[in-house]
Amino acid sequence: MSLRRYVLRRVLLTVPILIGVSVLTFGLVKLLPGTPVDYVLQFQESTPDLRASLRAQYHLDEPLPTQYALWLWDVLHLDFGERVVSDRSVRAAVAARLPATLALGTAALVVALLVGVPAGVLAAVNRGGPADEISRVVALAGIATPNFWLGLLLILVFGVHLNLVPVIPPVAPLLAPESLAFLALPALTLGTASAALFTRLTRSAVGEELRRDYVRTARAKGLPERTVLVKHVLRNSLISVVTVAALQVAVLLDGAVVIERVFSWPGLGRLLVRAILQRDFPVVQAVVLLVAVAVVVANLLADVLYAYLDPRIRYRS
Amino acid sequence: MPPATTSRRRLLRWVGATAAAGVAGCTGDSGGSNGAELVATLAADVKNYDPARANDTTSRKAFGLVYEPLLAIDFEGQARPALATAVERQDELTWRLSLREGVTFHDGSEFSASDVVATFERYEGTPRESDVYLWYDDATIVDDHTLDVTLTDRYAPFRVSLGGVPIVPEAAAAGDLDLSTTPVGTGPYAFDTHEPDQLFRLTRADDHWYDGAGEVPDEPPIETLTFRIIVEGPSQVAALRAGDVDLANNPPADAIADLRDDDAITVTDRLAGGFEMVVFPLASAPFSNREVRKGIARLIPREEIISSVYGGIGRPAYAPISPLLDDYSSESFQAEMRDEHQGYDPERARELLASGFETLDVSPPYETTIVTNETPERVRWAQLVRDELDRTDFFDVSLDQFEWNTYVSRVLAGDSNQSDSMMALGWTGGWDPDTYLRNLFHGDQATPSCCNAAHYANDEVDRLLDEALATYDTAERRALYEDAQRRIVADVPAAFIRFNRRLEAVRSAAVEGFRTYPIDAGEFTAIYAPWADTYTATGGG
Repeated sequence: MSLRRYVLRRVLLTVPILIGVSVLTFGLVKLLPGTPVDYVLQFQESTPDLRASLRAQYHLDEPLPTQYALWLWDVLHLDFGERVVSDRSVRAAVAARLPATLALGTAALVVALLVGVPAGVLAAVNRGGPADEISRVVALAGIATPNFWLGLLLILVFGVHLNLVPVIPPVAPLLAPESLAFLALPALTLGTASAALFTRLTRSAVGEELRRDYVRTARAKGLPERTVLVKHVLRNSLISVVTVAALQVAVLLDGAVVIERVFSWPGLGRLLVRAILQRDFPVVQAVVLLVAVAVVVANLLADVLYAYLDPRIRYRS
Repeated sequence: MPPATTSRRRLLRWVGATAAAGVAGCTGDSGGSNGAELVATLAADVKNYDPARANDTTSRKAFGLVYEPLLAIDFEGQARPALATAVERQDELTWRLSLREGVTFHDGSEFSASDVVATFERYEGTPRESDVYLWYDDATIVDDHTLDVTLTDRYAPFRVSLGGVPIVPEAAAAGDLDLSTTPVGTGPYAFDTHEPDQLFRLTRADDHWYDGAGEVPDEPPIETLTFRIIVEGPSQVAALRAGDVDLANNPPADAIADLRDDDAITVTDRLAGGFEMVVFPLASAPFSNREVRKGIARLIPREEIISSVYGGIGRPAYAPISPLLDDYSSESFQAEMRDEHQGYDPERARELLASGFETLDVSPPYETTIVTNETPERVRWAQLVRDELDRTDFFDVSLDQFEWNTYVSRVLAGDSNQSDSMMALGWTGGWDPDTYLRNLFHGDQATPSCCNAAHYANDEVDRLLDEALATYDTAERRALYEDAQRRIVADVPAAFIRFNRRLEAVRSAAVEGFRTYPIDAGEFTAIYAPWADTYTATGGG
């Protein structure tokens, strides 16, 4: 199967997944108690006319499938409607927060890879040695530590006691040096668990590759160990790391909900939490859908990348 | 030193030379001869800048220095001239308001009588309509700086009520100015920026009317007031201790001991106008029985709640008017209500419950719930009350927690008096005793009209409250309110728990002279309040 056909097939396969995701997103929000009308009116008494017009505005008089179809149609046009708590558009609210969350997620992923991959390689090369043991213990601790607790701990140590970094975000554009420097702690907090995962994954992948015949051949040919490791072993090992990196998008977005509150970082996570407490249904739907789509797309990318790096995948599937 | 500069210095250490250019640029921005900045925390975002529409305390805190009322209520609850220089009664229902001359709004327009009339009238049909239409009937403009206001009835708290009505430009009423995007008032600070979920910033207004006299300088010493929005309590405290903010507004009670131990921090606490209580659904057995209600009220461990839930902050409540109003709430009266009706006494409680249940067609243990919202302290005291009730053989109590809006809708629903649940509620009042009693205990205010969730109805109490509202003599009013309270406390539509105290923590070296205004939502107004001879400056920190 050519790569192009494989990609097309995978893209088509995501369509039913995306439809399922949209149905779930729409349906779950419908299960929450109360209707947008109650929340818009803040449970105040109101005229039947006002209630009726609000019901019409949210299409609540239509049968559920029609409501879903109307909502999906708008969503496909990137129209997520108006917020319940104000008359501002959901799209504007989401667009305003998205860059902050992307910046945090990217920084966390960079931290995770920069820490996890070298640590994994080191552990694999020194299998059974002290470096391997230390990385194992650190990785286990990283996976087991709750984000919330770690975030507060880092704030206390680096912000309050050592006084090295500000505790709340600087008032500056997202890409200003102050903002990027501030991102260090939240990215470290958010990236820790992923870094631990990458360490363990890289260690086992590199370990496995090191035992293969081609490595023995390369070494026998007299290639320097460094070349063997970087050009051959690492390249082959990274296939699984790339896949897991894509899957970490979901973990990072999940974690952002907690981390953004601890670090007062104005991203999608904080918007989502507040929208849930306020029963701002359209915002909840938009953010949940966006996250779900991001995860599906990340999976797709992982599959494609995997097939590109290892052609056996596309032939097998 | 302004905290922004402090952070920059620390940042410099952290990022090294790369940040140097940015640092230099920023320092230049905030320069000026008197360019101090004060950074305070808010635990939620600002929702609405329009005083006629903002129902949340956070918004009112944030814009409290942008708008000014005609009369300001000082720290002792006395009305002092603000935008009005005099407010005098002409006859039974008419008051003459003399307005300050030479006052301008932040948009440059001149303040006059027509702004006042427009401000009053634009409340009609808004969420805060009752702020004005509880007393306002009509107004006649005498000249640009004088007007006569006619009341619908004699209304004793008129002066205090004027303190709760921020004056806005006439253009806002005419629809030419949208306060929901551009707050414009006459206050010492003007709106600068709002970055949602991050900060709300005010800057010193150029043309504030105060020319200086006595102790207060003629302009606020602080140029920029920044409210940083920090939701998590521990993050607020960390930001204060790290020096990223100068003032933490209402930090969590469990952090207070640590903050008090920190030499760099000063913690102030103040009596706030509000209380916590359990409200009973009076139409539903066994809560329909007064002895049962009395029994429950005597099982509430108020001292334990204050020590274990609120870290010792606050005082037990046995009647509804806050000690903040010392004209109307004496310690001896509270003690009398405690001994006679609501003091903790498990033995007496069991006798009352036994006697009450005997006359009812309800067999113990009665399964019931206490409805609360998610406020951690409220949930914890409700748990303590539940434990006390469960310890008797009469009740089997569980807790129902709701998200704020759902909770409010549940307790303020029209049929809340018929539910089988007790309701854990908090109530905030102001400088007038009526604000503690009418909405909760007047027969006309039964839900869904307002907040009388018990649907308590006692004709004599209603008469006393109405008469007190129309009585101008303080001594007579006091007697009427005492009588009303005696009847309410004896009828036990609610068991009172705690009068609130609230806390502020400031960096001692950075903040000088900060004085918290006692009423919730007004905490920051005293940062520059010539009417109360109060202002805040920044120190050397």
